[in-house]
Amino acid sequence: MSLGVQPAERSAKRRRARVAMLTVAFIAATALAPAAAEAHGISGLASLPVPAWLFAWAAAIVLVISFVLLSTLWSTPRLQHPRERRLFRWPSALGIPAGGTGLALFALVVYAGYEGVPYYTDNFDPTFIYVIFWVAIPVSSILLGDWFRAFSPWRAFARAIRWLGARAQLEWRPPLSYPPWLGRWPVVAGLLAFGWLELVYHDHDNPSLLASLALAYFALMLVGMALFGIEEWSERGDAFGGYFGLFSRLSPVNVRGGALWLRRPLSGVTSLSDQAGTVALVLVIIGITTFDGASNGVVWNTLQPHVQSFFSGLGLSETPSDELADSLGLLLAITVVVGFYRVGVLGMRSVSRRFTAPQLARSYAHTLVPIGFAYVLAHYFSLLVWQGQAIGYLASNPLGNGSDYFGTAGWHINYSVIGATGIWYVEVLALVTGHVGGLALAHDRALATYRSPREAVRSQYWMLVVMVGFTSLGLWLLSAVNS
Amino acid sequence: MIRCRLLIAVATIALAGIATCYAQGALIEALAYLLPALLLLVVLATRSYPGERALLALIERKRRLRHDSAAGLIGRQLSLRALVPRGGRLIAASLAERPPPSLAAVSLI
Repeated sequence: MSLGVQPAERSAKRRRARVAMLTVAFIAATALAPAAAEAHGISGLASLPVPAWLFAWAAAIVLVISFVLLSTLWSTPRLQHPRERRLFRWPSALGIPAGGTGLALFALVVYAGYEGVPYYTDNFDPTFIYVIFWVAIPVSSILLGDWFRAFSPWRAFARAIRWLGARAQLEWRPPLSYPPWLGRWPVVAGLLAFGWLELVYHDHDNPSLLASLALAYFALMLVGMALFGIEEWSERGDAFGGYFGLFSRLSPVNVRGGALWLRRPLSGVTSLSDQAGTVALVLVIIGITTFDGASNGVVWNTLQPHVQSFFSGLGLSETPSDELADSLGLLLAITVVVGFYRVGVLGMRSVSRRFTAPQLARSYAHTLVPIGFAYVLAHYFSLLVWQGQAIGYLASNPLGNGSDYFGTAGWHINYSVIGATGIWYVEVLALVTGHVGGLALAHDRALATYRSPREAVRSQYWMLVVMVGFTSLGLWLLSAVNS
Repeated sequence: MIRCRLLIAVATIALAGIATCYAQGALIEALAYLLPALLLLVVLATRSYPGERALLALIERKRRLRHDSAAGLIGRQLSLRALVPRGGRLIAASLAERPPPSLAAVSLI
């Protein structure tokens, strides 16, 4: 009899959780996707049945309801000690074709950059680097885990060199151990540099420049791996590996030790270590995307000429002053994001004196990872869906010289795959889902860190402000871009 | 001290937002988007947590319900074990001169 009671209780709990989730989903659906919207034509935000700012209010309501449901129905920490179940193993020899594929694609990028036509629409490199590499890999990492690690060209090359050295009886020991103070700062620096290249530098889509930078990055990675060890540097020093790996922690699957493991969604990110630079990393990711949105909006486009003319007044020519103004804008966007998080952390600090502000900032940094992903997905979704199709014909004709290797060179981008209104709904849904995920992570961490329910609840009021603020900011930026 | 910092942060963000948007003439639009977050921030900055009491009451009620149901479950398990002795307990009960207290209580009913 006692055995019969426990599953019943468990299923009742599950039912309640399911009801809670369905309620959130229903409210989100009714608030964010009114039926009337489908009857309208698709022509940007003008075709929405309600003003776009109302979506920010609806998103705030969804977050408040999620906060209440989480507080009442989620009473014990569930994500702090992730448990994984192995799904299947694969032969370690598969690492060879994976690494070989990564190296071959890298070689193609370099070759197409130097030998292809210098137009970004016809050359393989800009689309591959800015759409496939920068956007599609993080998005797919959410579904498939950290698969890039196996395909990383620099890691594959270093491992091949090590294997050849071992066969020739030459053993290389890394002369340095990775300093703890360096933490994730190389990843932060690398992402900032890439963000600057993409959003600020005027010649960012020049294929030969991209090829040169790719080679320089490759060399830098090899030096890092030679000094600190292949796996050590790949994990902490590789900007792109670190970036993709961070998002893959949200995935329900984990690629580890030659096997695929299943875990609870979001649970992987709770084990994100609080080494130096972790908070900066997530804030920089959000900040870069924020500036990407702001740079296409009315506010920055009206302010930017004034800032540019200030630098022109100092004697700089047009291009450097333009780049300086945008660099300032990028820093400003990151500062705004840091300010949002800082307000939340100081608010939590006001709840209990047991933790210092830096401790809280580090402890809750992982809650920003789903927000970072939501920002990336929302801001680049249209780019991925539309410009991503271009890789179909660019793969057949990577140099832009008229070749047709796979018979797909005649393909075109089909812009009717999804309309502007559809994209807006996807963006809103991505932002809201990401922020609800962040709220759930913060709630789980609060249950594990605070002794009394009152402190835990109060701390989460502050995280609610952070989440509502980021959601509103994201929607404002997106609406500015779309209108 | 923290409250003062918070107010400074709120004021800075609000001023920066207003200054930026005023320069652009987009004040209304920006406010329309950011108002829910700003409202919540202002309310919390005054150290009031709307709905906190109701939320804590709900949490406490749920905790008590869970506790009661767990206690009931343990009670049921104990009484079942006591009613149906097994293994060593069965041998002990049969050899004992008087029955264990639980069985005695049952027999009294």
